[in-house]
Amino acid sequence: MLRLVVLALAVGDLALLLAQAGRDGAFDMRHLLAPAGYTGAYVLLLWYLGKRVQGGLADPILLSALIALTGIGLAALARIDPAMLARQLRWFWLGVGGFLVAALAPVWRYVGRYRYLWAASGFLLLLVTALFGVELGGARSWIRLGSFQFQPIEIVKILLVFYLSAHLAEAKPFLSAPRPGGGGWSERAYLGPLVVMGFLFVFVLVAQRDLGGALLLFGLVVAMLFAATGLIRYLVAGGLIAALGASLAALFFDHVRIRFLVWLDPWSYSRGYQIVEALFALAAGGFSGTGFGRGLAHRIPAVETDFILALIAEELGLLGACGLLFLLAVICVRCLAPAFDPALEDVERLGALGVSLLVALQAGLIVAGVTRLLPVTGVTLPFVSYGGSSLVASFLQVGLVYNRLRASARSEAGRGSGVTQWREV
Amino acid sequence: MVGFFFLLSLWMGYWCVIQAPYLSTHPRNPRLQLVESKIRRGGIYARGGEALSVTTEAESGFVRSFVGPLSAAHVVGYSHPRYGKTGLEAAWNRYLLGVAGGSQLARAFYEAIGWGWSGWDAVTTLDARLQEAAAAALAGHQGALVALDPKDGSILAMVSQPGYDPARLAALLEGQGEEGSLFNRATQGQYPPGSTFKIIVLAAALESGAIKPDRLFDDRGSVTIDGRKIQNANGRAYGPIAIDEALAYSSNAVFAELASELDPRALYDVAVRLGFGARPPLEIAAAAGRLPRPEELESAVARAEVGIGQGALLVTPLQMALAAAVVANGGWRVEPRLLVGFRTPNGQWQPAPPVQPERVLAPGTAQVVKQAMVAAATWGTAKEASRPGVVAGKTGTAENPHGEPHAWFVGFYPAHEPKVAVAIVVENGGWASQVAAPIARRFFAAVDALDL
Repeated sequence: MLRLVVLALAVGDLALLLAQAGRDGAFDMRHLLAPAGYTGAYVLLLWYLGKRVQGGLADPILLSALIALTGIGLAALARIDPAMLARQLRWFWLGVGGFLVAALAPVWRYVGRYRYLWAASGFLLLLVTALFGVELGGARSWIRLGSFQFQPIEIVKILLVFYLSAHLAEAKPFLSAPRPGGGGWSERAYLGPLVVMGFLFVFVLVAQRDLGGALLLFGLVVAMLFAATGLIRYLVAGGLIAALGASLAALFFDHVRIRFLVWLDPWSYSRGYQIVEALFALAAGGFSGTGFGRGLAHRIPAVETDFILALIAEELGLLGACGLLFLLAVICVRCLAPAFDPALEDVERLGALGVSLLVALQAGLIVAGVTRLLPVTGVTLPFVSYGGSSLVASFLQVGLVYNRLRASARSEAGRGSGVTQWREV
Repeated sequence: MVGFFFLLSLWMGYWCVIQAPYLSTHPRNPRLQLVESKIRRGGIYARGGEALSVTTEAESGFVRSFVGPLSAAHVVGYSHPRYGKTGLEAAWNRYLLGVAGGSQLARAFYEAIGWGWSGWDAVTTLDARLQEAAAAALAGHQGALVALDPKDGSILAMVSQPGYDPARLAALLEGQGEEGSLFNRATQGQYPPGSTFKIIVLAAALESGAIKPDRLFDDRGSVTIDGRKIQNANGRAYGPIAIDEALAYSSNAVFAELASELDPRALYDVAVRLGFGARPPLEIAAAAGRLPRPEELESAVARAEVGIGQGALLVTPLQMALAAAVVANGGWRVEPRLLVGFRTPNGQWQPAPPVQPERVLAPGTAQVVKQAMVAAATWGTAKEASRPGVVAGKTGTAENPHGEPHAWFVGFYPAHEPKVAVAIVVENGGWASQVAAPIARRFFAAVDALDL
């Protein structure tokens, strides 16, 4: 299993070297700095997890996918602009640190206890952003503190996962009646706060014009409700509400309508420029890609955030882009493991489920947007897109799940199961 | 969850692989512009081999210049690094760049230009001599002339006046040229057809069986339909008159009455079959005109107005020439075409797809309409177009809100073995018999002189 981790690091390093050499047209000794910073951070993390933490290397497959994915993400940014890479590397170190903290801190015992604290602070964060936030890229979704700015939605996502897992852990039996309303008064008592909370969040996000965020959080509520109860009716109802909401938004808000029109026919609108350029980039990449530095996708506006996939698809081809989706799929699937561990608490199992769904939904939304399957909603590609808040939050999310993967590994090790072999790597 | 990511990957593959040949050579793709400067663009030639637009090598790189008759500039269009592309230069761009093959993915293409890439030469259906004759015939007028070979739809000449000089494109686009000179009136100009539409009304009446060719009408000089009075142009009453005579004299009274008697659906269907109300399938920009729907033709007045080519009806000269070609062909419709074929750099010849004629009028209908058009061009309103070789034609003087009526001539020549079907429109030209018909005669004289 150690070999897999080394392979992942090699992939990341190679991508970083090729991306920089491709950008500058030739190799330069300075190009070694970023791979060193990247490798160093992970070697320290792995060393600490392996030597100092009980069950530290609980899931080397998840770690390897994370390592390779962030390496390719940094490489894509290195391809665009060295200064951008330097800034993102600093966030990356913070993210790795955050991962370690989230993986070690005894967070989960508090998650179930303070559910309304999570919900209220999430809501407050959004409200503060809506009132005092700054507008960047069309959405009023940033908070500025001095020279430092971040997107509170990234923290809100985690708080919402906390709230939902705590609430659903308690509410699950009451919401699982075979027929709607079959759970009687308590069903309504448990569904009520959930619906109110979901709509409050979405409402504030719509006020901020952060459509991607609104769709993501709404999707998370619906997906978790469905996953916790296994009842299709929540999925159907959620889908209908989303469709209705989207149609109403398209009717009443010009900026939403434009996004729909551009999606239906990007060729006829000047605002369709980004998506048209992204499709050209995908086509130019073909199956195996042009190679780093030989594409034109780096000229697409917002390529470093929303349209990073277009750059990867052009320069690394369908092969590279599918590889990236594969790594994301591995992370999502491995994050599901705690959800099926009977030794864990309900809150923890639902929390792991929530993180997995969150990453999958977010990746799906932006990949679908770039490939014209859905209108572009402006969310980041987890672990890949440029942006500190997004990267650190993604690390924190997976770190929280890793926390429970460790717990599973320890409890199984205690029972003498086969998982112990992972300790020996 | 694995399935979810798998489906997303498949969808990416759709763009990266299946749509790639199309997207990689899309005119708006900046990758194409990047490599374009390094490709020797193929030339565009007239059917006789005369160069129309060619690329030459100068110190600064490749230079594209238009070298054909100026009147062909609308069809050929321009390819300008700053102002983009129009006409055939835009429509055939991927062939002229030599990147039309499905396997030409962008990357192959980046590498290919390393070894000096040449585009394909294109041969158009335009006949350079006839094009110049057409421009000369129309000289001094504002309007358009389209001439096509009725057998295969090949466009032999297409003139739109005022024209422009592609060498002065920059000045023109900065607003120093003659107003509307870039506009191709032959395919995009939409006009009421006036009496030339009687050809279509006659065909519809015969096709639907509403009249027999020997039916006599009573022409009293005017007719009142639902309170609307429609008069003959010169006020004359022709008395008892056969339908072919009515067409030759261009009797509004007879055709208004005839159209008002027709089933709206029958009138609409024949017009659609002849190509009205739809954009002709052509490589360059072309308008659809406007054909009232059967519901709009419910009232007898609306039909009567369409019967004399007025009302809500709009057509393009190209559409009229195509309709004339159907009559010339004895009822077979052909699609218009501008391409003879492409020649690849290694000498391979890629011809245009074969002609696929479609029967849209019964042979008997076409025969009666043809006889009536011969009568019109022999002793009727179109007699100013007459030539020894027998002309078939119809004039039209179309009322319009922009001043003097538009003068039309639509027909084909020689009537019994047609070499060309033409449509001529002179904007605000006045009486068609005196304005449009003589232009047709001069053009037909050139057809004879050139011995097509």
